[in-house]
Amino acid sequence: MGSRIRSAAFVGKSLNPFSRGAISLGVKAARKCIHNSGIDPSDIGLLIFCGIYRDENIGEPAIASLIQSNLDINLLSEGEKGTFAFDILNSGCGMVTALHVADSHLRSGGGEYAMIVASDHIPIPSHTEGYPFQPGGGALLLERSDEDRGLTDFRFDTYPTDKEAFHSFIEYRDGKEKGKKKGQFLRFEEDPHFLEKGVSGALMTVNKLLERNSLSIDDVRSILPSQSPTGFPIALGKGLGQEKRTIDLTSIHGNLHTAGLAACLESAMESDKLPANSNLLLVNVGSGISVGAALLRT
Amino acid sequence: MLEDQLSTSRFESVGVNVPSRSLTTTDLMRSMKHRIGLDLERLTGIHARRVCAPGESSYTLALNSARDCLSHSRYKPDDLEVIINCSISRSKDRNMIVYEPSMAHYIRQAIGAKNAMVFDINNACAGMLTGVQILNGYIRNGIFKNGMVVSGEHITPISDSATRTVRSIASRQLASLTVGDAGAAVILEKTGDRGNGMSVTQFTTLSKFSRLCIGKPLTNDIGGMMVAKARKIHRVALDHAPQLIKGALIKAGLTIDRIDHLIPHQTSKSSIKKGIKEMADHFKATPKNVVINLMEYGNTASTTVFLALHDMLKGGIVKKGEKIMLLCFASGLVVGVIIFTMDDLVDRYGISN
Repeated sequence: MGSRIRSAAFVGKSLNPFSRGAISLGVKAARKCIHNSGIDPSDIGLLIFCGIYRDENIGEPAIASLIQSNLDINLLSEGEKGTFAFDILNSGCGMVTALHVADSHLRSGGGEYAMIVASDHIPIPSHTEGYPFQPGGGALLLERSDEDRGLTDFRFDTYPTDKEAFHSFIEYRDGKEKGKKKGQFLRFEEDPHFLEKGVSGALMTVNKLLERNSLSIDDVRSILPSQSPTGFPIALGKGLGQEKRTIDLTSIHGNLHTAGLAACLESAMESDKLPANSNLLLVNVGSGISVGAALLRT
Repeated sequence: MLEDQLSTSRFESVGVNVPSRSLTTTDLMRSMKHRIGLDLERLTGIHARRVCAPGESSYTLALNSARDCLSHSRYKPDDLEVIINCSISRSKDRNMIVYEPSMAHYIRQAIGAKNAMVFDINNACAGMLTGVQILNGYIRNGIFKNGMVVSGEHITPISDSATRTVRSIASRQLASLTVGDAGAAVILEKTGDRGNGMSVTQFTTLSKFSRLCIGKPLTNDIGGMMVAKARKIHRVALDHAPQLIKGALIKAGLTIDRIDHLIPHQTSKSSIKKGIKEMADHFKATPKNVVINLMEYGNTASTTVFLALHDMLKGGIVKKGEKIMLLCFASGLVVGVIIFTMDDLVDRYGISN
């Protein structure tokens, strides 16, 4: 018994010329996801935001609460209805982590529906250097299911590296260095071997997850991977010997960050790649190196 | 609304870490660029707060809290199955705010919790209680048997910026002057036969008020800023909290006068006292003891309730079998209630040792 993904939605920057940031992208994706699901939004009891790069680098409140407000979902707790909202930050593994948390919540009988929103956008262009991702917003709607399908298993592993394989941080500069303005700047550092190490970790985690479930990669109909770092979907597909079954949307959307998995799920659902009783493999990779993988039985 | 009646986890250990440097409210107000004619200590009850020294950060406070927590625990680092970091502030050192990898990842590496899944959450001052809610759900579902919820709040940079920009008592940055730095960590485990555990966890986000308090890093200077409509937040909390608390009490099969210790989020003494008066009007009764420890710490964001609980354990104030309510109010606007029965956790702390 696992939670079922009822709907998925993705909004890319190209569809959204007037969007100004991650919150706007997240709200648009969430609206599309709710529309696709056909549910009453007031039945969403849990709302998790798992993007990293947000408007003005806001630290509080949780971006999830601002999205909840924009979506007009249970603005006040009235009667039995109410929504709890918070953020998860787990690098490129945010979406699978949020699925794990939301699935646990629904299994507890805490409600019928949970929504996960992931969006990233360059926060403050004048104070960001080398932003490496394409903007995008994704949303997934989970529903409680008593059937023997849905999210059936998860696995999370960390493969430590000597130095951060991918490191993002806001750094203060006092302006004394020639050519450097004073202020706080969002910066990124990537180990040239991040992709290679990420794929290596992802393969180990996937193999352990499949083995635990007595499955082989041939039992998996589609592989839905993170869409970054650049080249990850192709490299993972090659590593698993399943290039054709691995969804790679980077030629359309570029290297999305936390919203990548929602884009893959939307694509899979729309293109009828989800016949009943087939296994999908969701694979997130992020700094750490952290890997989160989940099995989804349709 | 997120409710959980049949919880089966308990607090196995509590640890804290506070900077040694203390800054009095008198000295803080003396450092203001503009004189605003406000007796902040009298208004809030905050005499002093701890402030990070060079070399201290959100990371070091969280890490040292995790180590303190482990020192009181039966668990070794490699026993931990999950670590959830919950701070608003994310300083790794004086000049760096980290987004990737997660802060929990750094803590995992430093303490050697090689088997732990790790991630960060952010839910403003409700962060640690939200982390407890998530971990409680994991344990209840049998996904994990134990885990750590940790937070290090190096939040006084918003106070530093307020000393430069606040010009009057009407400033929306005034509440930034009440904060202090601190870290806290708790280990939760499956209850088994070791205690009664948590009877209710209940959280809701009143997002109609999500824009009443916004905190973010500065762009042109070091540190951050928090802009808040503090009076409005207080009013909303007074209006909505009693009904939400009542719901939690009903689910726990308790009345407010059976709560031995209420530990609320520590904002200001007058706000807490007004809240208790509102509660008394609503319930026609009050908890037996309301804990206020902000005099020496100020508002330490997501860590306040566990800093207070730790002090109570150390001081031998809380006893086995007593009912405790943890209550948080946070930007969002989040109201969270956790009710649990104190068990043999007390045996590893304070005068009972």
